[in-house]
Amino acid sequence: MSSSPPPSSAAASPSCPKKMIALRSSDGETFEIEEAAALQSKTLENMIDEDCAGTPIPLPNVTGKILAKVVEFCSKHAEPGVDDESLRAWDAEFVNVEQATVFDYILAANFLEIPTLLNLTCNVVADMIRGKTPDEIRKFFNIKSIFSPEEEEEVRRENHWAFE
Amino acid sequence: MPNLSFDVDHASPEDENIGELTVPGQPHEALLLVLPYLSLSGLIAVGEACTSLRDVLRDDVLPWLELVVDDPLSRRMCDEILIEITSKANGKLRTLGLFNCTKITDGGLQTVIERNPLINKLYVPGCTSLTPEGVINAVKTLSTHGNILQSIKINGIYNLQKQHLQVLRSYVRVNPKTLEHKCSTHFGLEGDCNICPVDVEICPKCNEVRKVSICPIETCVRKRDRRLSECRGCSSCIPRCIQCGACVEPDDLEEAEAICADILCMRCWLQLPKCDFCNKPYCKQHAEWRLNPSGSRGFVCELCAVYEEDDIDV
Repeated sequence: MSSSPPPSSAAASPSCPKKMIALRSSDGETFEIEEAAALQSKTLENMIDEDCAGTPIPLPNVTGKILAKVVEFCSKHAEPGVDDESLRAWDAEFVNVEQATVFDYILAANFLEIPTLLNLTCNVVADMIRGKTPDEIRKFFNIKSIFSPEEEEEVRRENHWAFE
Repeated sequence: MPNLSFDVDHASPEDENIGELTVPGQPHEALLLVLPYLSLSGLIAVGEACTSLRDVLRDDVLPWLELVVDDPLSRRMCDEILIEITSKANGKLRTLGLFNCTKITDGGLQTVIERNPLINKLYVPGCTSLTPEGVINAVKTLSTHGNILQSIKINGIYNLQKQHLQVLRSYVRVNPKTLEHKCSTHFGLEGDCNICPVDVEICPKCNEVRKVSICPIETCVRKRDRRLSECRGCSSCIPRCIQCGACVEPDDLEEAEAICADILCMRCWLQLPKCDFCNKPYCKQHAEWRLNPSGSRGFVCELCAVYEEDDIDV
């Protein structure tokens, strides 16, 4: 009647507590994250392997505000037994934030090499871009256009086929 | 002297984008990471939006490795332009996604394939100028030199027969995980599964090469009423609800009518808001077509709106 133990390290018992990893943000805040959750980040996975036992891993590129959310994301995605639909709904809520924050998530996901978070956040911004004209893109992302008349003419010529 | 002016004329309290920018007026660095996620129309628009993004697109290979050509560029994409655009990948193209690009010919496809031997995702659904033989040739070419195709989409190619499908399947990597996958939940316009190695199979009911899906519900109506062990077939053989993918029996097809003419199961139909006049709903995808009559919380569909205007004068 015995079944094999669950493979993930998320299984815990009194004699085998979950291993916690400490992270330090650029502004000095410390966060704890379960190893299973931390392994979602290739960057952290490499650092854990090098066994910086005990000392918090410094993350100079990520502020405390963003790191807290990244820890939340990784922990949620390491949770066992969450069905696809609920996770999708949770992800949608997670990225339902202002533009500047989504950008911060993207940079953090890139730095920490978290493919799930990077895909999620980049797709959100890609959706914002979809269907917009260049002018609408400039307004939406607060970009100033500095094309010279010659440059504008050149780019229009290059892309003429797309507008015929 | 750097230009530090902020575009206050266009900023408004609702603008989310008044944040901290590294350099005012320049695109946020995160946008560069988003480029590989854009389809071709997005890349073109972004390249016209500002010079630094234009430069990145001109000098960088990364945004061009997963090419997706869809609306509104599909019908304008021809062989010549395709060869030019794919050349930006410098031979390292990994995904060739041509959705409903009706002008692309076998010759054009073959040229792109020969110049980009690392393609592992070949999507040509709805590319009606392609022939099954042309696609097979392309897949054969890609499979030389140890390259293994991960997935292909060929729904909508004319004259696809069983034997073509068998040949194509033999070239696509058999990933044990994907063998078990039975497409059920992806429906409606997006109906695009990225797990299935091949998007079509032989429909067990009509024997044609089609997109086939199974019912997302364990004991669905068809299985129950007809005592079947599986509810599996193409959309012509088994009508499915556009929202949940459940099979819909003929009676419900009549009862659960939508204004947008999409198919709904009774359960989804009951949950949708209905037009004040004809008591039919729009499906979720067409919800934005609802018109709100002044002062009410209900809505009027575009067909009934004509009559509502007439009534006002009475």
